[in-house]
Amino acid sequence: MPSPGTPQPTVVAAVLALDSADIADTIARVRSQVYETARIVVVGSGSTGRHAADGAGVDWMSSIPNLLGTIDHSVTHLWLLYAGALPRPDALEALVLESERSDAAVAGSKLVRADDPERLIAVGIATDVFDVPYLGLEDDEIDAGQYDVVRDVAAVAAISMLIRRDLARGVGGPDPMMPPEAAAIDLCQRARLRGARVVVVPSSEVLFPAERFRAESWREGAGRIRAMLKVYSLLTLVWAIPLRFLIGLLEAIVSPFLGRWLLFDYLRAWAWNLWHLPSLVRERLSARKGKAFGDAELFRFQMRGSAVISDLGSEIGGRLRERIDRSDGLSLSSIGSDLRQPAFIVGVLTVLISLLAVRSLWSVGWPAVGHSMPLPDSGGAAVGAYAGGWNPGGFGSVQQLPPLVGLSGGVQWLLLDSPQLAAWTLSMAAIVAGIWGTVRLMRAFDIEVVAGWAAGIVLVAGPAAQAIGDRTALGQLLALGVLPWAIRVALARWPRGRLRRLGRIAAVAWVVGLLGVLAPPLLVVPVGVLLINALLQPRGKAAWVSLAIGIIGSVFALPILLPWIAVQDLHTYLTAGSEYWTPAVIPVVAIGAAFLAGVVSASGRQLNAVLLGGMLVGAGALVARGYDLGLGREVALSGLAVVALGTALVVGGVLDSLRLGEIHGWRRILLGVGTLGGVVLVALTLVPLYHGRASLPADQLTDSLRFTAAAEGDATASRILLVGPEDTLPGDSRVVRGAAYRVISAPVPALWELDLPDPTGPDDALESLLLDLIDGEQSRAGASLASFGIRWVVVTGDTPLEAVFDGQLDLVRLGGARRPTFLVDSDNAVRALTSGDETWTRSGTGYAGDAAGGERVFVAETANTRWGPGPWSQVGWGNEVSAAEGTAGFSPIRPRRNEATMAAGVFAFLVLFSGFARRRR
Amino acid sequence: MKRILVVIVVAASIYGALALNSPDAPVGPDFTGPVERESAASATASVWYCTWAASGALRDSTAMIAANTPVTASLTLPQQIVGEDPDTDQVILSSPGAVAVDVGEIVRRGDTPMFVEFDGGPAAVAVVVESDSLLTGDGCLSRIPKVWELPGGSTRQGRTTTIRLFNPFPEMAKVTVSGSSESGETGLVDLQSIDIPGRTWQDVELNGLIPLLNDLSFTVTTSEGNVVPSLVVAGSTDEASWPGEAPSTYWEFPVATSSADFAPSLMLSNNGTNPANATIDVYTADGATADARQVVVDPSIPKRIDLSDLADGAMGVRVRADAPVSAVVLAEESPEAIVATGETDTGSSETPGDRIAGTVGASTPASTWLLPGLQAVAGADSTVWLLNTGTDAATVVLQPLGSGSLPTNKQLVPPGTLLGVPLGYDAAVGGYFVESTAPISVAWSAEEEKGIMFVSGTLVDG
Repeated sequence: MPSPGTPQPTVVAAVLALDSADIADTIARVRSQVYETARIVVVGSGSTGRHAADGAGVDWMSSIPNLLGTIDHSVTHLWLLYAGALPRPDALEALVLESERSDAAVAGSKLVRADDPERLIAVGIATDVFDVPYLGLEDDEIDAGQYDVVRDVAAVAAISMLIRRDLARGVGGPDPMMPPEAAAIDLCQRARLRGARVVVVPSSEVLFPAERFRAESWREGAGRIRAMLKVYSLLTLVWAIPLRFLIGLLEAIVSPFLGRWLLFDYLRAWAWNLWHLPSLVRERLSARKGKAFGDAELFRFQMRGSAVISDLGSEIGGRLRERIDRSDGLSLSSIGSDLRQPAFIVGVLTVLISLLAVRSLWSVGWPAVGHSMPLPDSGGAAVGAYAGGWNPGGFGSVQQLPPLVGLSGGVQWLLLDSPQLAAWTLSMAAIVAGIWGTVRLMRAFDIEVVAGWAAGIVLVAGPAAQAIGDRTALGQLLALGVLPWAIRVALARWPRGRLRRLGRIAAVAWVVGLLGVLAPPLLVVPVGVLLINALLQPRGKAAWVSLAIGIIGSVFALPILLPWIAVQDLHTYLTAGSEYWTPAVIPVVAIGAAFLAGVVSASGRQLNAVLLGGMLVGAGALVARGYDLGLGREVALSGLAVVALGTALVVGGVLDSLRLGEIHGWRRILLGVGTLGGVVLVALTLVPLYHGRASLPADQLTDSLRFTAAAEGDATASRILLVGPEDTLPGDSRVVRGAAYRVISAPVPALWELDLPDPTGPDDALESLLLDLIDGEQSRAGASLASFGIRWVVVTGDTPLEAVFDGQLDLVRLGGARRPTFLVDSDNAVRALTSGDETWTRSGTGYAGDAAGGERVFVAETANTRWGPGPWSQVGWGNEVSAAEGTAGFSPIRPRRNEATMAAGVFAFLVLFSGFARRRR
Repeated sequence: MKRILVVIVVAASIYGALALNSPDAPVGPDFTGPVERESAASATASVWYCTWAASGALRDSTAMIAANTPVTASLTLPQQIVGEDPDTDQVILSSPGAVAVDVGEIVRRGDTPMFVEFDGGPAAVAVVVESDSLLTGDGCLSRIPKVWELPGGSTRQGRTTTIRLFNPFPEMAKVTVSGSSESGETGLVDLQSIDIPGRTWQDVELNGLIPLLNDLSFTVTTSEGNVVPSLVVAGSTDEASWPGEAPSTYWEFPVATSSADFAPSLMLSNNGTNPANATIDVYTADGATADARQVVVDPSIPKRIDLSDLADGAMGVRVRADAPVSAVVLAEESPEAIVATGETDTGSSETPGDRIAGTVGASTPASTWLLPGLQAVAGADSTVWLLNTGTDAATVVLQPLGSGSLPTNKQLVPPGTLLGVPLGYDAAVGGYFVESTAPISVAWSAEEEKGIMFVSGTLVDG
């Protein structure tokens, strides 16, 4: 209490008009305060606020600084209130008294829910170092007086804030460019920098609608960044800003999995601060001008670590516990109980195993071996190439790229165009999703978490998955993560309500579509599995309903594969290449033992899983060895994926049967043998974990070709001719007189050039050159190779073509290379060369260089009229276009681009619709 | 029931899977390396390597280019300084013909080994090197094996032997030179793994390393890269040079000597592990002496056979062996102190000139030959030598090649005879194209007071 004779503080109440509908109530509550205010002013909101002020018979000001300009020294305090805040009659008195007693320049009220005043909203605000608010309260915590102590805090909400006028004038009041919450934190920080105390006065209670408190928006995020930039020293900013950037990025990446999309908010927040940099600089100078303390004062009431990460971790943990096993009740009673829950342990193990399984991919991405290649430098270029663009395989063509290129390019684009991060993320996501999906799928067969988890491990890393990895079938490997979901979603209980039912079909459609994008032959597998499942339970109506849903969903999934599915010659695709699976003895014995034991000993729904799994293993093995049946490589590899799924079902069924009490005697012994088989299969998953490459083989090319990146000039401007046995060459290869070869981009080829199109002009010309070399009729192979843009010839294994390049007058054998290598002794061994002899470098699937009006540029790609800019002409087998613009590129094929756009739109619609329908009640 | 049915279905699937065949193993390459070219003129583009050209203060070289079809010939003369750009020139023959290119007009810096690239064919090159006191030369080579044989060397009194190792390719070559003499293998430790940088050459003077040896044969083995070696045997004035070759069981030498003034000898070398029995047949204008001599060539001991007692005057020889041997013929005006291996030195009281000629032989007779440079050596008497070792008479058409159309010359070569056709010198002629009705071997010689040279003909393939 002020001592007698001391003039009582004079308070002006400023009601921040954020919502005019609530202003009148707030003004009424101010008028009814025990401690009378000298004046009530409505601030902000333009004409709406003015109108509200007129209606309440009070003044209106456009901003706080303007208000401060009109009040004289007789006013000692400014009471800031949000419109909608409902202070108790003694709220202001408590603020005034305590602020005087504590000599606090800023005092804030305790906030409670307007609809339930027994529950707390906030009692002062702590922040982390990034100015993210942290309240320290449980959700809907009851106010039992546990926080009723006047204490110093980092900040108080401007919902009810009493601030000394002189301080307000000194710090310039709240920053009008900031949203309310961030502005309050900023104001309090600036006040504390000047030595002012900021306290919370719990005896001052204000009611406020809870849903309006901390309404998160990108503006709040932007405001917090601005607040940091204004008050912290440069030394603090040097580490805090990059860290804030990274944490925000992490939140943006993780949030979609939690049902939020924050990437654009994140980018807008940073962009907004960059845009307002001039004003920020002025504000910073003003804020730090009269500072009395350093950053240590600001750190005093901050929580350790990051509030964002802490919240994310809590949310993810809760969701994992909830999702992995819905039947496991989530106990909140003790952390120990949570930790002991199988679902939690399984979830942790899943993440750990996944991290282990892909750890080697983190820094280098997918290895360059077989049909596995790193992603190209630009995800956008990959998407463009898929969507009607140029196929850069070999000497280029208009042959449609597989959907995996488009998908991986899109993911890469989202992940800041990092090829390594995209590859790691896709692989990691496939493993996590595969295990998780298998656990969920097993639940449909009443198989518990632990057995389901073991089945999931076998799916993504068992013998069949390893076989897929050995054959570097990236698509099928990633598809293992989606396959169990494609079946699980269809098997889920048919919901009530038309909207939810449509949503279910949409969900099946986009999951199956995703499966088809990764590995097109797998598109038909979910229907096949559901059919077998229905046949195994002919009287089960649910199984037939699931089949029908699967069929309808698969049909709706087809547009997602556009334009590939419209353009690709499916017969050629399904019959091209060859694969023949020869499994090792141990896994065959193990799965055989498990299956037979399960067939004999299991019962109920576990038996159904074993029977279904066995059928899938048999069918998959038939397809995986179906060369004789005319089945091509892609189909055979998809057969392996079916084997993997079948194996997982058998393992899950057998392992789970062991916990059932009704199996006795010799059947239990037999089941034990089968379990042993299952354990062996799980143990075999340790192999890919050891290597950390997600079952993929070690890189065979990168080290051999790395020297090209260190060569003089831009390696990407040239090609490499690889010669060697077919199994040492990446992707497809061509053959001349029985010797294999292919052309790739330097320094390392990318995923989008694995497939070679049908031979065209340059392919015929190169073959002709090689035949001349074999016949000893060429002595200057270098000059000829240079015309193809080939600068190096690398021998990948034992081949008679190596001797053919020996003894050429313009090929230099490079000493010290990992593999026998020849360098073309010519200046112009480049893919794009102007008539002025300038080399253009590769840019996506096109080329770029110095613009040269009047000159032409020869582009060593298969001739096609869509290369530009015009005028275009064909020179030999290549293209010549104008060099005036400094770029040469392929105009996309508009129908394909439209189809790709439509496919993306259909996919997005199905995802959003299924999510929306699922949440509707 | 369901279990049984499923087990049956699964078993049937597995059985079916096991019954399916694996793909056939891919057919491997049907070749082991590039087609090894004979040193023959063919209808395709070709490169010819000429190792002993030199144009400078003392010597002049002429590249004799001949083609039976319009061709463009690109001459490249590398520098011995690593990394320096070579000198180049281009000659266009717009019709079948021949041209003599003065190397000195391209560059004049002394030794200038070169290579000539033709964009078509048949075409071939020979190089003639002259100075005030010498005349030498031979046909250039288009074939480059990894192992070369160079018989015919000598470091005896009055003779110097040099091996030139020419690397016309851009990368470093690693070469080992081993040698053998009448005493067996010579120790050439310093010539193990010699580095020959790309587009340079290196001369190895052997007199300092292995002096006073009568009969020398060398093997040049390339472990990295490729080289084109040649052997140069010099007397007091003249010198003879010839390229390396691959061993063969059959050799024809149309000219072992052009007259009685030059003592002919044949040097045989056997790089195998077992002795080779060689039979020498002699051919003159009068006929053949079959089995004129039979010799045994021991491994790593080159054998020099004096042929002067087998016939008077011009002669050609044929060598037939039961194992591959390398062979050269030499014709020496002053073979003093020379002692054929295993034979007695007869001595001589005369002191003749020291003109030397030598050449490699043809490993097979043929019906078509290209003779660049024949009749084109200014001031020299050129003779073409036609050797018919067969049983049928050969009607031979000699078509001069030069600028414009030139009249042909038809000759009949009886079976088992050697026919020498003197041609002199004609400035309009740059070479000859020879066609025969029966397989023959062909060479030419050029003789003048300062020197003599033998040049083996270039077989035309197809």
